[in-house]
Amino acid sequence: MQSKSTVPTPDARLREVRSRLDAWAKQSGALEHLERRPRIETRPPKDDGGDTKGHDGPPNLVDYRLVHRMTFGYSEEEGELYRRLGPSGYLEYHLNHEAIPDDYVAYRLAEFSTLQRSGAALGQSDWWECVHETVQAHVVRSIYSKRQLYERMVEFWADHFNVFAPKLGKLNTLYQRDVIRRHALGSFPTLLNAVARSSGMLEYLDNASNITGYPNENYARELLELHTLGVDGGYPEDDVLDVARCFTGWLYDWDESSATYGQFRFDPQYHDNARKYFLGIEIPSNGGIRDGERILEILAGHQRTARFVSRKMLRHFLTEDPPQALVDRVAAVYTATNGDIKSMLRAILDQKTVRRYATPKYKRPYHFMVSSMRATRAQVPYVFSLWWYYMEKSGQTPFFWPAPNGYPDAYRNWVGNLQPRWMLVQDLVQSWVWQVTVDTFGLLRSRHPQTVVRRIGEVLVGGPMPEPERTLLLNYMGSNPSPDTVREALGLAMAGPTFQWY
Amino acid sequence: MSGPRFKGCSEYEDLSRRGFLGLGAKAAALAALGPSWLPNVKFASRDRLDAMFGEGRDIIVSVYLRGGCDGLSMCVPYVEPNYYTARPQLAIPRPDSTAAQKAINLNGFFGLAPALQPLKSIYDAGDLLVVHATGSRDETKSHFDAQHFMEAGKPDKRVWTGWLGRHLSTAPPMSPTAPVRGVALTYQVPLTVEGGPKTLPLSTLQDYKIGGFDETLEGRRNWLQDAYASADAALANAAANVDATLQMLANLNFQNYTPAGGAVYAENEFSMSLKAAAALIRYEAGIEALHIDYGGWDTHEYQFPLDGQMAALMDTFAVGLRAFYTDLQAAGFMNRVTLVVVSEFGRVLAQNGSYGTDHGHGNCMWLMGGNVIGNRVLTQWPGLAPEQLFEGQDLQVTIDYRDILAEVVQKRLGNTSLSAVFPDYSPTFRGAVAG
Repeated sequence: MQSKSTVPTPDARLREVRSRLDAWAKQSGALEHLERRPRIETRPPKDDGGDTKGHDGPPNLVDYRLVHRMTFGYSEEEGELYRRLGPSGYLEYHLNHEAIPDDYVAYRLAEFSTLQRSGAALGQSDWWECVHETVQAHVVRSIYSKRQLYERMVEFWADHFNVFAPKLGKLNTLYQRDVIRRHALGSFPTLLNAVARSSGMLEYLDNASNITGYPNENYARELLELHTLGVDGGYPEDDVLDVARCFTGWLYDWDESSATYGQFRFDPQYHDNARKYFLGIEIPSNGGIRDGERILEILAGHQRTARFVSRKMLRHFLTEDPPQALVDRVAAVYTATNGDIKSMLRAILDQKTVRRYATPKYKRPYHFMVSSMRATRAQVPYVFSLWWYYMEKSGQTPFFWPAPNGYPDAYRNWVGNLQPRWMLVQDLVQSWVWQVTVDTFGLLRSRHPQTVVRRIGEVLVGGPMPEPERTLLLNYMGSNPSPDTVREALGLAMAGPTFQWY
Repeated sequence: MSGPRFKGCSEYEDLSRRGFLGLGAKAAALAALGPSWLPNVKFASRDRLDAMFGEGRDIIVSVYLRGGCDGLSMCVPYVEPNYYTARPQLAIPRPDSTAAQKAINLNGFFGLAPALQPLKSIYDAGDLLVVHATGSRDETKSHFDAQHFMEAGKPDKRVWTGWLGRHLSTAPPMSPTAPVRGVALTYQVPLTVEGGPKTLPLSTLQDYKIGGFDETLEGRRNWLQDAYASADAALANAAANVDATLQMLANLNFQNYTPAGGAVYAENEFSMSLKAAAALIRYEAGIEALHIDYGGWDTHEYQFPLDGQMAALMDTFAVGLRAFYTDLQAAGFMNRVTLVVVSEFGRVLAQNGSYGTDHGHGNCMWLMGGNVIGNRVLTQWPGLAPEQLFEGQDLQVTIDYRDILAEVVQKRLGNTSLSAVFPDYSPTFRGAVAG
């Protein structure tokens, strides 16, 4: 068995990540910049007498609901695309994600040298470099990628098949690239199989040391409870043990000097070949690797899996408590298409379904951050700024949730902690988040209060700001606001209640 | 702004200042000096408060060890031969063995893991109680269901408030003008405190700010409160709590916080949370409930309680609690604080093939404080022979965790509404705390 004595514990790695971020903040000048809080040189826009062009509605949060649902936050560019393509055209455009040019993201990702490395090359790489590059690339894509629906599905599966980067180290590079991102808009059974064979999951849930005679049930339990059937999936406790026995010998190559580092391997000498039972189905003896494959087949084809995954996708995109009839409808699509994720999305994001069932969803901290960057067209040359300054403090850094259930996706979990959000956007508009800049007047085009408030609505929600925020913003600015005050109004609008939802 | 924006419940407005701080004469004298943000309140007789709600309520600190900690490694039943046969590589040697690392004898039956040595003197001083073979009687081995049930105080997934949150919502504030009553030193609101009035997560004390120019801070705070006033109730509350906390922390210089008694907090998240809790308690802002999460206890692999994962976890646990105790004891607060430690389940008696243990059942709980009846292991020990185990493999639960928590809630927090705090359960008090 693998010797782990030289591998740092996840806890030790987490501490190292934090101390590296703090060191970065000191050395880069980010901390000093924040403490010094320099005022922006103000170049007031030329007095255009108030911009009367543009529309004062009716577009709003409701009309652009599909854009809000399918992206990491509204942007005027997405709004324009939606108006041009119409609801179903817009959905199909995003479902055909590989056809969407994404040059800027490709340009940005070129600076991360570990992302495309082979397993063998990763074996020789530094774990921290790999971990921070996967996090940085994830943030860059969330903010800037034109393939927004794809990125939202990547986020969904990264939570559904959660791993903890400080435990995986460089295996996270392989896991995110070759498992989650490769199959995010593919088929669920294929994704499930890829996860089961991934060094990332085998390491994270300890299946890499699950051996005959002494099964380790960690992966088996979460496979049933979190990945497929759900905790109320009707399997008895004894089945967990038998499923664990089916996956004995599913290992990966953990030798960092090996040419196949990080690759799946099945080792028959550690496999329990005795007969097992799962959900009353006999798994005959001497099945070898077929045992685990059979379990995955049963699970992927099970009605409860179809419902469990459908409900969770509905929660992600439409509403926290989807009605059973809707769940059943999407589950039927799962069953009919053998778990085709795009087909399920068509059923969920169909215009009529969205109109009828979507309820406001509270942004999680990460979603909030990304949406504020997108709406304000922020320049984010260094992700470390946002990581150190906000993600770390808000409690949602990609791949940093330790428990296998993924970051929670419910209002009640996140509603209490508004302070990091308020701080982020109000410092953002003053350019106090190191190197992250927002061109407020390029965005708002005016300093006339009426125009400013209209533009704020247009960039944040695609229409007029709802009351009372609209009137409160006008009151805050008065009749002749200074450039600083205009920037503050934009920050307040993002800190306000409307922008917490999508 | 000159004071907290939020008035206490009017029915408690005339409670005595000394009473609401719940202090002795010494502390009341201190309170007279400050904190400066404390608003004036009408004075009433101490008797009236006591008559209404009992005197001497403790501040509660709730610690949750997420992942299902291995109680059999923490408080070792070293006289049980089955403990040693089931865990050939993971057992902690008997205190009378010749091994260099071995259990620290507590009472001739149980011993502390050597990594928990820092807790021994607290135990000896009578301020630390171990409850063993305790936990939730529900059979689930799902972390998430088990955590839900334990935090909700009832094995029911439809219950979305926590036992501590319901305590706060059924008890009058210890301080009627307290800007904040409950704090979770976390990023999210844990279910344990869900439903508590004036309760919020605080992920930082050091930089609790909302950005922007200092000159315009007041105007922006007002704007935000106005904007959120008509928002969804939970969101409006959250916004109000942020504002109250800004006010509360304005004068707390946490960066220069000096622990009393030479206490040394380690540089890890658990110790930092305890340090923050101690600072908030000593600051006497009226916070009456604090919650801390400490994760990583799901030791399926390489558990090794003497030099592996479990040793590191226990070391962090013990060093943290020791610093907290030293700090509050020296500052004169430990007689007004009760700290409880729970985890969703214990672990299987037998080790697995990865030198770890899988999800089990019975476990231990820890209580610390001046009013804890400590220096003992409170248990109805079920034994570890195969026929004595739960489903043939786990330590049984012979004391429901709610028996212990309910006793704390009634005797130390002064709340007799136990049917609200622990619905559909009739607790049996076990003599865990004084009162």
